[in-house]
Amino acid sequence: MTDERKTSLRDSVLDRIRQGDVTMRPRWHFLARGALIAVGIVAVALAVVFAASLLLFTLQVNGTWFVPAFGWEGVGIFLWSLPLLLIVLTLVFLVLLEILVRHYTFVYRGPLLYSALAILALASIGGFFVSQTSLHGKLLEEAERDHLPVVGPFYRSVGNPQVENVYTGTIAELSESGFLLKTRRGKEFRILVTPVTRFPYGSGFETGDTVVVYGVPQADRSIEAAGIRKIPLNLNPKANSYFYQGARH
Amino acid sequence: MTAEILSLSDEDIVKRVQGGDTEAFGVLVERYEAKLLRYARKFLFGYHDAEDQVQIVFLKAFTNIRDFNTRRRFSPWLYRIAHNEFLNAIRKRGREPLPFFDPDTLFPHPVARERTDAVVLEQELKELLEQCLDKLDPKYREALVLYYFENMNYQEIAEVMQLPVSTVGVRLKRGKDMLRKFYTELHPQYDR
Repeated sequence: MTDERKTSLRDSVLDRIRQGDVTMRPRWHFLARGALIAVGIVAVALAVVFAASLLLFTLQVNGTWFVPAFGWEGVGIFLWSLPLLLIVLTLVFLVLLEILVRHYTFVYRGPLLYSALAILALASIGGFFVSQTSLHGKLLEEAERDHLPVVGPFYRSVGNPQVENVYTGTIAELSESGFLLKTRRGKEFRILVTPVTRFPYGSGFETGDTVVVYGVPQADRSIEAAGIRKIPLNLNPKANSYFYQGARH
Repeated sequence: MTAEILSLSDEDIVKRVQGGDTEAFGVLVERYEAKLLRYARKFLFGYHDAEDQVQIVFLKAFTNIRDFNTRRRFSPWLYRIAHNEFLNAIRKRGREPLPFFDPDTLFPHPVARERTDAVVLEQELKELLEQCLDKLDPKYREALVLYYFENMNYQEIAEVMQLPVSTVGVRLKRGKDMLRKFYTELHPQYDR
């Protein structure tokens, strides 16, 4: 390296600085950027928890969450009925959160697996606890009354979809051949219990029990049940009032 | 430039620059110019504008100098800026693949222990590297250049490339294996 080159590069850099072509960014710029990233992380983390809890809520409301108990057919229904839009949205937030937190040294110094697992744990645990509250039930009620601006249509589309051959509701009336099932929306279905009906968690049903039925509709509009199970209600009784009117706690 | 400022550490000089003494930045340019040019020439092998890229690095460093925490070491911070600028240069030219996601960073890897004949192998590898730089994937090339020519340790390389330390070890190992493979193809009589 000659002295000429040394002088040349140093001088060209200093000349640019003296002429004002480049200036030092003020300290507040970096503080603001750091604050923005931190706020972004909190916002996306909340979005992750919200999306994960909405996913759990949706699966519980439409009964999909409980059908794997009916064997491989139930597992198939579960997989086919997963709300893809919500899952994709949750994954997008998860990836975004991972990108934001890798800004910090203690995160990028470790393998991606560790931070990804921590974020998944946040989504799962946070999502579970939020799904146990009455938040989504109340929001869906507001959406159904058209009182929820902006996200109302989205909430109505994911909040309570009907899954083919899966019926959730409360037992309104017992009979010798089965029972009358009343859904939250007030629809009634005559459920027929046959020798091939499976009861993975027992068959001692009473009026007012919340159940999920997997069955095939018949010509007379009754449902021949392939499987019936009681739905365990949420830990928080307030969260249950959305699900099933007249449900026993 | 006074003897007093020349005797200051990099971090103390940065403090002066942050305080408004912009001329002091020239000392940092002098101290790191040769190193960054060497890094640029080896990492941007075949790109022929190493000097321009190094100037951009220094100007970027000046622009963001108030973001530097003077309780940390200046060298990795400057090299980190250089790493980002050189990657941008590679991306703009589009001649070499730079995937967004690197599977090497996904899982933890055990870090290999140093061998007792490391010094001899190091010299040999430096010679191999000189001959086969352009054949290596940028992510392996950079790790090898920082280790063998900039004499950085795993921690420092991890800081510059923003990677887990274990991934640095993986990159160095794979880079060395590829070097030997390319060299053997060029010189079939090479048998190590």
